[in-house]
Amino acid sequence: MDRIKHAIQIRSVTKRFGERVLFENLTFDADVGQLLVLTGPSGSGKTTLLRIIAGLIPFDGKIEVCGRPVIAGTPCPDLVLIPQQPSLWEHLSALDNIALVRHLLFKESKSEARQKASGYLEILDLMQAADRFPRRLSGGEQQRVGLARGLATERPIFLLDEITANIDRDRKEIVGRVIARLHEEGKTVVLVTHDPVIVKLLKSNPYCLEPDGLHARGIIENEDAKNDRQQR
Amino acid sequence: MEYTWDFTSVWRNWEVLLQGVGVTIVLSLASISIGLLLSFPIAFLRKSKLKFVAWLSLAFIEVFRDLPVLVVLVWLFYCLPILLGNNVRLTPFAVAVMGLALNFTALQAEIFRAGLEAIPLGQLEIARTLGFSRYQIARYIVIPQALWRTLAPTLGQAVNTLKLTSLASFIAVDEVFHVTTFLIQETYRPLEFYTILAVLYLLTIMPLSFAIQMVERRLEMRFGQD
Repeated sequence: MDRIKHAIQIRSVTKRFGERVLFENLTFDADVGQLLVLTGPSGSGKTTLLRIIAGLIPFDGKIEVCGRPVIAGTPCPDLVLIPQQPSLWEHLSALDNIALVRHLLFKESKSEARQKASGYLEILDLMQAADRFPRRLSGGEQQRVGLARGLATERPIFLLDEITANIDRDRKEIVGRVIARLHEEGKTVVLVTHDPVIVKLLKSNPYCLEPDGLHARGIIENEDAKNDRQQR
Repeated sequence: MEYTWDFTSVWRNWEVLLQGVGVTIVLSLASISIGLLLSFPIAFLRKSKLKFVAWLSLAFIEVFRDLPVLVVLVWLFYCLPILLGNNVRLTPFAVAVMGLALNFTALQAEIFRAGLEAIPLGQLEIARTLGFSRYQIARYIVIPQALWRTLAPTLGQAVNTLKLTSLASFIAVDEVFHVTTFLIQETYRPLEFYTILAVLYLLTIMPLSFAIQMVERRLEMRFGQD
Protein backbone atom coordinates (compact mmCIF):
# COMPACT_ATOMS: atom_id res chain seq x y z
CA MET A 1 0.00 0.00 0.00
CA ASP A 2 2.86 2.38 0.86
CA ARG A 3 4.29 2.25 -2.64
CA ILE A 4 0.97 2.62 -4.39
CA LYS A 5 0.12 6.22 -5.30
CA HIS A 6 -3.39 5.65 -6.50
CA ALA A 7 -5.82 4.00 -4.14
CA ILE A 8 -8.39 3.80 -6.93
CA GLN A 9 -7.60 3.88 -10.65
CA ILE A 10 -10.48 4.11 -13.06
CA ARG A 11 -9.71 3.67 -16.76
CA SER A 12 -12.23 4.02 -19.58
CA VAL A 13 -15.11 2.76 -17.51
CA THR A 14 -18.48 2.69 -19.22
CA LYS A 15 -21.78 1.75 -17.68
CA ARG A 16 -24.96 1.20 -19.65
CA PHE A 17 -28.41 0.21 -18.53
CA GLY A 18 -29.94 -1.10 -21.75
CA GLU A 19 -29.82 1.72 -24.28
CA ARG A 20 -29.05 4.33 -21.67
CA VAL A 21 -25.41 5.27 -21.19
CA LEU A 22 -24.82 6.36 -17.61
CA PHE A 23 -21.21 7.35 -18.18
CA GLU A 24 -18.73 6.59 -20.92
CA ASN A 25 -14.96 6.21 -20.88
CA LEU A 26 -14.75 7.53 -17.35
CA THR A 27 -11.15 7.93 -16.27
CA PHE A 28 -9.88 9.31 -12.99
CA ASP A 29 -7.73 8.43 -9.98
CA ALA A 30 -8.20 8.77 -6.27
CA ASP A 31 -4.82 9.05 -4.61
CA VAL A 32 -3.98 7.33 -1.36
CA GLY A 33 -5.22 9.60 1.43
CA GLN A 34 -7.35 11.75 -0.89
CA LEU A 35 -10.76 12.99 0.06
CA LEU A 36 -12.76 13.00 -3.15
CA VAL A 37 -16.21 14.55 -2.94
CA LEU A 38 -18.53 13.63 -5.79
CA THR A 39 -21.75 15.34 -6.64
CA GLY A 40 -24.01 15.45 -9.65
CA PRO A 41 -27.66 15.46 -10.60
CA SER A 42 -29.92 12.59 -9.53
CA GLY A 43 -29.55 9.66 -11.90
CA SER A 44 -26.06 10.69 -13.01
CA GLY A 45 -24.66 7.39 -11.72
CA LYS A 46 -22.86 8.38 -8.52
CA THR A 47 -24.25 5.47 -6.51
CA THR A 48 -23.71 3.11 -9.45
CA LEU A 49 -20.09 4.24 -9.68
CA LEU A 50 -19.49 3.46 -6.00
CA ARG A 51 -21.16 0.06 -6.41
CA ILE A 52 -18.97 -0.64 -9.44
CA ILE A 53 -15.81 0.25 -7.51
CA ALA A 54 -17.00 -2.01 -4.68
CA GLY A 55 -17.28 -4.89 -7.14
CA LEU A 56 -21.02 -5.24 -6.82
CA ILE A 57 -22.10 -4.71 -10.41
CA PRO A 58 -20.52 -5.45 -13.80
CA PHE A 59 -18.99 -2.73 -15.99
CA ASP A 60 -16.88 -2.21 -19.10
CA GLY A 61 -13.36 -0.89 -18.64
CA LYS A 62 -10.72 -1.33 -16.00
CA ILE A 63 -10.62 -0.45 -12.31
CA GLU A 64 -7.85 -1.13 -9.85
CA VAL A 65 -8.13 -0.73 -6.09
CA CYS A 66 -4.78 -0.67 -4.31
CA GLY A 67 -3.24 -2.18 -7.43
CA ARG A 68 -5.71 -5.07 -7.57
CA PRO A 69 -8.20 -5.30 -10.46
CA VAL A 70 -11.85 -5.02 -9.52
CA ILE A 71 -13.92 -7.99 -10.67
CA ALA A 72 -17.68 -7.74 -10.40
CA GLY A 73 -19.00 -10.21 -7.85
CA THR A 74 -15.73 -10.39 -5.95
CA PRO A 75 -15.55 -8.30 -2.79
CA CYS A 76 -12.50 -6.07 -2.45
CA PRO A 77 -10.69 -6.46 0.89
CA ASP A 78 -9.27 -2.93 0.80
CA LEU A 79 -12.46 -0.92 0.81
CA VAL A 80 -15.75 -0.57 2.56
CA LEU A 81 -18.93 0.75 0.97
CA ILE A 82 -21.37 2.54 3.23
CA PRO A 83 -24.63 2.97 1.31
CA GLN A 84 -27.38 5.53 1.83
CA GLN A 85 -29.67 2.73 3.04
CA PRO A 86 -27.42 1.19 5.66
CA SER A 87 -29.17 -2.22 5.59
CA LEU A 88 -28.40 -2.99 9.20
CA TRP A 89 -28.83 -6.61 10.27
CA GLU A 90 -32.23 -6.50 11.86
CA HIS A 91 -31.82 -9.33 14.35
CA LEU A 92 -28.88 -7.59 16.00
CA SER A 93 -28.80 -4.50 18.21
CA ALA A 94 -26.90 -1.42 17.03
CA LEU A 95 -23.95 -2.49 19.18
CA ASP A 96 -23.98 -6.07 17.89
CA ASN A 97 -24.16 -4.91 14.26
CA ILE A 98 -20.71 -3.41 14.78
CA ALA A 99 -19.43 -6.13 17.12
CA LEU A 100 -20.17 -8.82 14.50
CA VAL A 101 -17.84 -7.07 12.06
CA ARG A 102 -15.05 -6.98 14.65
CA HIS A 103 -15.69 -10.60 15.65
CA LEU A 104 -15.60 -11.95 12.09
CA LEU A 105 -12.99 -9.70 10.46
CA PHE A 106 -10.54 -9.40 13.35
CA LYS A 107 -11.30 -12.67 15.18
CA GLU A 108 -11.91 -10.72 18.37
CA SER A 109 -13.73 -12.45 21.21
CA LYS A 110 -17.36 -11.43 21.58
CA SER A 111 -16.70 -9.31 24.69
CA GLU A 112 -13.70 -7.61 23.11
CA ALA A 113 -15.67 -6.99 19.91
CA ARG A 114 -18.54 -5.41 21.87
CA GLN A 115 -16.10 -3.22 23.77
CA LYS A 116 -14.57 -1.96 20.53
CA ALA A 117 -18.05 -1.51 19.06
CA SER A 118 -18.99 0.75 22.00
CA GLY A 119 -16.06 2.97 21.09
CA TYR A 120 -17.34 3.45 17.55
CA LEU A 121 -20.85 4.18 18.81
CA GLU A 122 -19.43 6.75 21.19
CA ILE A 123 -17.58 8.53 18.39
CA LEU A 124 -20.88 8.95 16.55
CA ASP A 125 -22.89 9.95 19.65
CA LEU A 126 -24.92 6.74 19.58
CA MET A 127 -24.36 5.24 23.03
CA GLN A 128 -28.03 5.74 23.94
CA ALA A 129 -28.98 3.60 20.94
CA ALA A 130 -26.53 0.75 21.62
CA ASP A 131 -29.09 -1.83 22.69
CA ARG A 132 -31.83 -0.83 20.29
CA PHE A 133 -32.66 -2.94 17.25
CA PRO A 134 -32.51 -1.32 13.80
CA ARG A 135 -36.29 -1.00 13.41
CA ARG A 136 -36.30 1.04 16.62
CA LEU A 137 -33.73 3.51 15.33
CA SER A 138 -34.54 6.68 13.40
CA GLY A 139 -33.29 7.00 9.81
CA GLY A 140 -30.43 9.24 10.95
CA GLU A 141 -29.44 6.86 13.75
CA GLN A 142 -29.46 3.95 11.30
CA GLN A 143 -27.16 5.88 8.97
CA ARG A 144 -24.75 6.65 11.79
CA VAL A 145 -24.74 3.00 12.93
CA GLY A 146 -24.01 2.06 9.30
CA LEU A 147 -21.07 4.48 9.33
CA ALA A 148 -19.86 3.11 12.69
CA ARG A 149 -20.03 -0.42 11.25
CA GLY A 150 -17.95 0.75 8.29
CA LEU A 151 -15.38 2.43 10.57
CA ALA A 152 -15.05 -0.85 12.48
CA THR A 153 -13.58 -2.50 9.37
CA GLU A 154 -10.51 -0.20 9.58
CA ARG A 155 -10.15 -0.49 5.80
CA PRO A 156 -7.91 1.94 3.92
CA ILE A 157 -10.62 3.08 1.47
CA PHE A 158 -14.10 4.35 2.37
CA LEU A 159 -16.86 4.75 -0.21
CA LEU A 160 -19.58 6.83 1.41
CA ASP A 161 -22.91 7.25 -0.37
CA GLU A 162 -25.13 10.11 0.84
CA ILE A 163 -24.49 9.13 4.43
CA THR A 164 -25.91 12.33 5.86
CA ALA A 165 -29.19 12.28 3.94
CA ASN A 166 -31.35 11.71 7.05
CA ILE A 167 -29.12 13.26 9.69
CA ASP A 168 -29.85 16.49 11.57
CA ARG A 169 -27.45 19.41 11.43
CA ASP A 170 -25.74 18.84 14.80
CA ARG A 171 -25.07 15.21 14.02
CA LYS A 172 -23.89 16.16 10.52
CA GLU A 173 -21.06 18.03 12.19
CA ILE A 174 -20.12 14.86 14.08
CA VAL A 175 -20.16 12.87 10.83
CA GLY A 176 -18.15 15.62 9.13
CA ARG A 177 -15.52 15.44 11.88
CA VAL A 178 -15.35 11.65 11.52
CA ILE A 179 -14.76 11.93 7.77
CA ALA A 180 -12.15 14.64 8.31
CA ARG A 181 -10.40 12.38 10.81
CA LEU A 182 -10.37 9.49 8.35
CA HIS A 183 -8.74 11.86 5.86
CA GLU A 184 -6.17 12.98 8.44
CA GLU A 185 -5.37 9.35 9.23
CA GLY A 186 -4.44 8.85 5.59
CA LYS A 187 -7.52 6.91 4.54
CA THR A 188 -8.88 7.39 1.05
CA VAL A 189 -12.45 8.64 1.12
CA VAL A 190 -14.81 8.91 -1.83
CA LEU A 191 -17.89 10.74 -0.64
CA VAL A 192 -21.01 11.08 -2.73
CA THR A 193 -23.15 13.88 -1.36
CA HIS A 194 -25.60 16.64 -2.18
CA ASP A 195 -25.21 18.08 1.26
CA PRO A 196 -23.73 21.60 1.31
CA VAL A 197 -23.27 21.43 5.09
CA ILE A 198 -20.97 18.45 4.89
CA VAL A 199 -19.06 19.88 1.90
CA LYS A 200 -18.51 23.11 3.80
CA LEU A 201 -17.42 21.25 6.91
CA LEU A 202 -14.88 19.26 4.93
CA LYS A 203 -13.62 22.38 3.11
CA SER A 204 -13.46 20.30 0.00
CA ASN A 205 -14.13 21.22 -3.59
CA PRO A 206 -16.57 18.73 -5.02
CA TYR A 207 -16.36 17.13 -8.42
CA CYS A 208 -19.42 16.67 -10.53
CA LEU A 209 -20.00 13.32 -12.22
CA GLU A 210 -21.17 13.85 -15.76
CA PRO A 211 -21.51 11.36 -18.61
CA ASP A 212 -18.09 12.31 -20.02
CA GLY A 213 -16.20 12.41 -16.74
CA LEU A 214 -15.55 14.30 -13.52
CA HIS A 215 -15.64 18.07 -13.55
CA ALA A 216 -14.41 20.38 -10.82
CA ARG A 217 -17.27 22.29 -9.29
CA GLY A 218 -17.53 25.13 -6.80
CA ILE A 219 -19.17 24.96 -3.41
CA ILE A 220 -22.59 23.35 -3.61
CA GLU A 221 -25.27 25.92 -3.19
CA ASN A 222 -27.72 25.20 -0.44
CA GLU A 223 -30.88 23.86 -2.11
CA ASP A 224 -33.14 26.07 0.03
CA ALA A 225 -31.12 29.17 -0.80
CA LYS A 226 -31.21 28.24 -4.46
CA ASN A 227 -34.98 27.82 -4.40
CA ASP A 228 -35.40 31.16 -2.59
CA ARG A 229 -33.23 32.89 -5.15
CA GLN A 230 -35.13 31.36 -8.05
CA GLN A 231 -38.47 32.37 -6.54
CA ARG A 232 -37.28 35.93 -6.13
CA MET B 1 -82.69 -33.41 28.36
CA GLU B 2 -81.93 -34.89 31.72
CA TYR B 3 -78.44 -36.28 32.00
CA THR B 4 -76.67 -37.26 35.14
CA TRP B 5 -72.97 -36.61 34.89
CA ASP B 6 -70.86 -39.29 36.49
CA PHE B 7 -67.09 -38.90 36.39
CA THR B 8 -66.37 -41.91 38.57
CA SER B 9 -65.07 -44.00 35.70
CA VAL B 10 -62.92 -41.06 34.55
CA TRP B 11 -61.23 -40.80 37.97
CA ARG B 12 -60.77 -44.55 38.05
CA ASN B 13 -58.91 -44.46 34.74
CA TRP B 14 -57.05 -41.24 35.38
CA GLU B 15 -53.61 -42.82 35.10
CA VAL B 16 -54.45 -44.45 31.75
CA LEU B 17 -55.62 -41.09 30.42
CA LEU B 18 -52.45 -39.37 31.60
CA GLN B 19 -50.36 -42.05 29.90
CA GLY B 20 -52.29 -41.26 26.73
CA VAL B 21 -51.45 -37.56 27.17
CA GLY B 22 -47.80 -38.57 27.63
CA VAL B 23 -47.85 -40.54 24.35
CA THR B 24 -49.51 -37.57 22.60
CA ILE B 25 -46.77 -35.23 23.84
CA VAL B 26 -43.90 -37.59 22.96
CA LEU B 27 -45.43 -38.25 19.53
CA SER B 28 -45.72 -34.50 18.91
CA LEU B 29 -42.20 -33.73 20.15
CA ALA B 30 -40.65 -36.51 18.06
CA SER B 31 -42.52 -35.47 14.89
CA ILE B 32 -41.79 -31.76 15.39
CA SER B 33 -38.08 -32.37 16.16
CA ILE B 34 -37.58 -34.48 13.06
CA GLY B 35 -39.63 -32.01 11.02
CA LEU B 36 -37.54 -29.06 12.23
CA LEU B 37 -34.30 -30.85 11.35
CA LEU B 38 -35.51 -31.74 7.85
CA SER B 39 -37.42 -28.58 6.97
CA PHE B 40 -34.51 -26.13 7.06
CA PRO B 41 -32.37 -28.01 4.52
CA ILE B 42 -35.42 -28.58 2.33
CA ALA B 43 -36.21 -24.84 2.43
CA PHE B 44 -32.61 -24.12 1.34
CA LEU B 45 -32.79 -26.76 -1.41
CA ARG B 46 -36.04 -25.21 -2.64
CA LYS B 47 -33.96 -22.10 -3.45
CA SER B 48 -31.13 -24.10 -5.04
CA LYS B 49 -29.75 -22.90 -8.38
CA LEU B 50 -29.74 -26.54 -9.51
CA LYS B 51 -33.20 -26.79 -11.00
CA PHE B 52 -33.49 -30.52 -10.47
CA VAL B 53 -32.74 -30.18 -6.75
CA ALA B 54 -35.18 -27.27 -6.38
CA TRP B 55 -37.82 -29.28 -8.24
CA LEU B 56 -37.31 -32.35 -6.01
CA SER B 57 -37.69 -30.20 -2.93
CA LEU B 58 -40.83 -28.58 -4.33
CA ALA B 59 -42.28 -31.99 -5.24
CA PHE B 60 -41.71 -33.23 -1.68
CA ILE B 61 -43.36 -30.12 -0.24
CA GLU B 62 -46.36 -30.30 -2.55
CA VAL B 63 -46.99 -34.02 -1.96
CA PHE B 64 -46.90 -33.91 1.82
CA ARG B 65 -48.54 -30.51 2.14
CA ASP B 66 -51.47 -31.51 -0.06
CA LEU B 67 -52.09 -35.06 1.12
CA PRO B 68 -54.39 -35.43 4.14
CA VAL B 69 -52.34 -36.62 7.13
CA LEU B 70 -54.75 -39.51 7.65
CA VAL B 71 -54.11 -40.77 4.11
CA VAL B 72 -50.34 -40.59 4.69
CA LEU B 73 -50.63 -42.48 7.99
CA VAL B 74 -52.84 -45.19 6.58
CA TRP B 75 -50.64 -45.57 3.48
CA LEU B 76 -47.46 -45.80 5.56
CA PHE B 77 -49.08 -48.27 7.95
CA TYR B 78 -50.71 -50.60 5.46
CA CYS B 79 -48.88 -50.17 2.15
CA LEU B 80 -45.27 -49.43 3.08
CA PRO B 81 -44.64 -52.75 4.92
CA ILE B 82 -45.92 -54.65 1.86
CA LEU B 83 -43.59 -52.70 -0.42
CA LEU B 84 -40.64 -53.11 1.94
CA GLY B 85 -41.18 -56.83 2.39
CA ASN B 86 -42.04 -58.92 5.43
CA ASN B 87 -38.68 -58.38 7.16
CA VAL B 88 -39.45 -54.76 7.95
CA ARG B 89 -41.81 -54.22 10.85
CA LEU B 90 -42.84 -50.71 11.71
CA THR B 91 -44.62 -50.06 15.00
CA PRO B 92 -47.76 -47.88 14.87
CA PHE B 93 -45.90 -45.24 16.90
CA ALA B 94 -42.99 -45.17 14.41
CA VAL B 95 -45.41 -44.85 11.50
CA ALA B 96 -47.27 -42.03 13.26
CA VAL B 97 -44.01 -40.16 13.91
CA MET B 98 -43.03 -40.61 10.28
CA GLY B 99 -46.38 -39.44 8.88
CA LEU B 100 -46.71 -36.43 11.16
CA ALA B 101 -43.05 -35.48 10.62
CA LEU B 102 -43.49 -35.58 6.84
CA ASN B 103 -46.50 -33.27 7.07
CA PHE B 104 -44.74 -30.93 9.51
CA THR B 105 -41.59 -30.87 7.33
CA ALA B 106 -43.50 -29.90 4.19
CA LEU B 107 -45.43 -27.08 5.86
CA GLN B 108 -42.48 -25.87 7.93
CA ALA B 109 -40.15 -25.82 4.91
CA GLU B 110 -42.49 -23.29 3.30
CA ILE B 111 -42.52 -21.21 6.48
CA PHE B 112 -38.70 -21.21 6.55
CA ARG B 113 -38.56 -20.38 2.83
CA ALA B 114 -40.77 -17.35 3.43
CA GLY B 115 -38.51 -16.39 6.36
CA LEU B 116 -35.41 -16.64 4.16
CA GLU B 117 -37.00 -14.57 1.40
CA ALA B 118 -38.06 -11.89 3.89
CA ILE B 119 -34.43 -10.98 4.62
CA PRO B 120 -33.69 -7.82 2.61
CA LEU B 121 -31.02 -8.43 -0.05
CA GLY B 122 -29.16 -5.27 1.03
CA GLN B 123 -28.24 -6.97 4.30
CA LEU B 124 -26.59 -9.83 2.44
CA GLU B 125 -24.88 -7.49 -0.01
CA ILE B 126 -23.32 -5.51 2.85
CA ALA B 127 -22.07 -8.74 4.41
CA ARG B 128 -20.52 -9.79 1.09
CA THR B 129 -18.76 -6.44 0.58
CA LEU B 130 -17.36 -6.74 4.10
CA GLY B 131 -15.78 -10.02 3.02
CA PHE B 132 -17.91 -12.41 5.11
CA SER B 133 -17.76 -15.96 3.77
CA ARG B 134 -20.90 -17.77 2.59
CA TYR B 135 -20.79 -19.86 5.74
CA GLN B 136 -20.50 -16.75 7.94
CA ILE B 137 -23.39 -15.07 6.14
CA ALA B 138 -25.56 -18.15 6.63
CA ARG B 139 -24.45 -18.73 10.24
CA TYR B 140 -24.59 -15.18 11.56
CA ILE B 141 -27.12 -13.38 9.37
CA VAL B 142 -29.45 -15.62 7.37
CA ILE B 143 -30.25 -18.50 9.73
CA PRO B 144 -30.71 -16.49 12.97
CA GLN B 145 -32.89 -13.98 11.18
CA ALA B 146 -34.98 -16.64 9.43
CA LEU B 147 -35.46 -18.43 12.76
CA TRP B 148 -36.49 -15.23 14.55
CA ARG B 149 -38.87 -14.18 11.81
CA THR B 150 -40.53 -17.60 11.65
CA LEU B 151 -40.69 -18.37 15.35
CA ALA B 152 -44.38 -17.50 15.80
CA PRO B 153 -45.63 -19.45 12.74
CA THR B 154 -43.35 -22.35 13.71
CA LEU B 155 -44.98 -22.54 17.14
CA GLY B 156 -48.37 -22.33 15.43
CA GLN B 157 -47.36 -25.25 13.23
CA ALA B 158 -46.25 -27.20 16.31
CA VAL B 159 -49.69 -26.67 17.89
CA ASN B 160 -51.27 -27.88 14.66
CA THR B 161 -49.16 -31.07 14.73
CA LEU B 162 -50.13 -31.65 18.36
CA LYS B 163 -53.79 -31.51 17.32
CA LEU B 164 -53.16 -33.85 14.39
CA THR B 165 -51.77 -36.56 16.69
CA SER B 166 -55.39 -37.65 17.32
CA LEU B 167 -55.34 -39.11 13.78
CA ALA B 168 -52.77 -41.65 15.00
CA SER B 169 -55.65 -43.39 16.77
CA PHE B 170 -56.63 -44.75 13.32
CA ILE B 171 -53.48 -46.87 13.30
CA ALA B 172 -53.87 -47.87 16.96
CA VAL B 173 -51.29 -45.61 18.59
CA ASP B 174 -52.14 -45.33 22.29
CA GLU B 175 -52.30 -41.56 22.33
CA VAL B 176 -54.95 -39.79 24.39
CA PHE B 177 -57.74 -39.87 21.78
CA HIS B 178 -57.29 -43.60 21.17
CA VAL B 179 -57.13 -44.33 24.89
CA THR B 180 -60.30 -42.28 25.47
CA THR B 181 -62.19 -44.12 22.73
CA PHE B 182 -61.14 -47.42 24.28
CA LEU B 183 -62.26 -46.31 27.76
CA ILE B 184 -65.62 -45.17 26.40
CA GLN B 185 -66.20 -48.63 24.94
CA GLU B 186 -65.36 -50.11 28.34
CA THR B 187 -67.41 -47.76 30.52
CA TYR B 188 -70.19 -46.39 28.25
CA ARG B 189 -69.61 -42.83 29.56
CA PRO B 190 -68.87 -40.92 26.29
CA LEU B 191 -69.95 -37.46 27.50
CA GLU B 192 -67.67 -37.50 30.54
CA PHE B 193 -64.69 -38.91 28.67
CA TYR B 194 -65.02 -36.68 25.59
CA THR B 195 -65.42 -33.64 27.87
CA ILE B 196 -62.31 -34.57 29.83
CA LEU B 197 -60.50 -35.25 26.54
CA ALA B 198 -61.31 -31.72 25.37
CA VAL B 199 -60.06 -30.30 28.69
CA LEU B 200 -56.84 -32.32 28.43
CA TYR B 201 -56.19 -31.04 24.89
CA LEU B 202 -56.86 -27.47 26.02
CA LEU B 203 -54.50 -27.82 28.99
CA THR B 204 -51.78 -29.16 26.70
CA ILE B 205 -52.25 -26.62 23.92
CA MET B 206 -53.06 -23.43 25.84
CA PRO B 207 -49.54 -22.93 27.29
CA LEU B 208 -48.21 -23.16 23.74
CA SER B 209 -50.74 -20.59 22.55
CA PHE B 210 -49.65 -18.22 25.34
CA ALA B 211 -46.03 -18.85 24.33
CA ILE B 212 -46.92 -17.84 20.76
CA GLN B 213 -48.44 -14.59 22.00
CA MET B 214 -45.33 -13.87 24.09
CA VAL B 215 -43.05 -14.59 21.13
CA GLU B 216 -45.13 -12.30 18.93
CA ARG B 217 -44.74 -9.50 21.47
CA ARG B 218 -40.97 -10.07 21.63
CA LEU B 219 -40.78 -10.09 17.84
CA GLU B 220 -42.81 -6.89 17.68
CA MET B 221 -40.27 -5.29 20.03
CA ARG B 222 -37.40 -6.52 17.89
CA PHE B 223 -38.66 -6.20 14.33
CA GLY B 224 -41.69 -3.92 14.66
CA GLN B 225 -41.48 -0.20 14.10
CA ASP B 226 -42.33 2.50 16.62
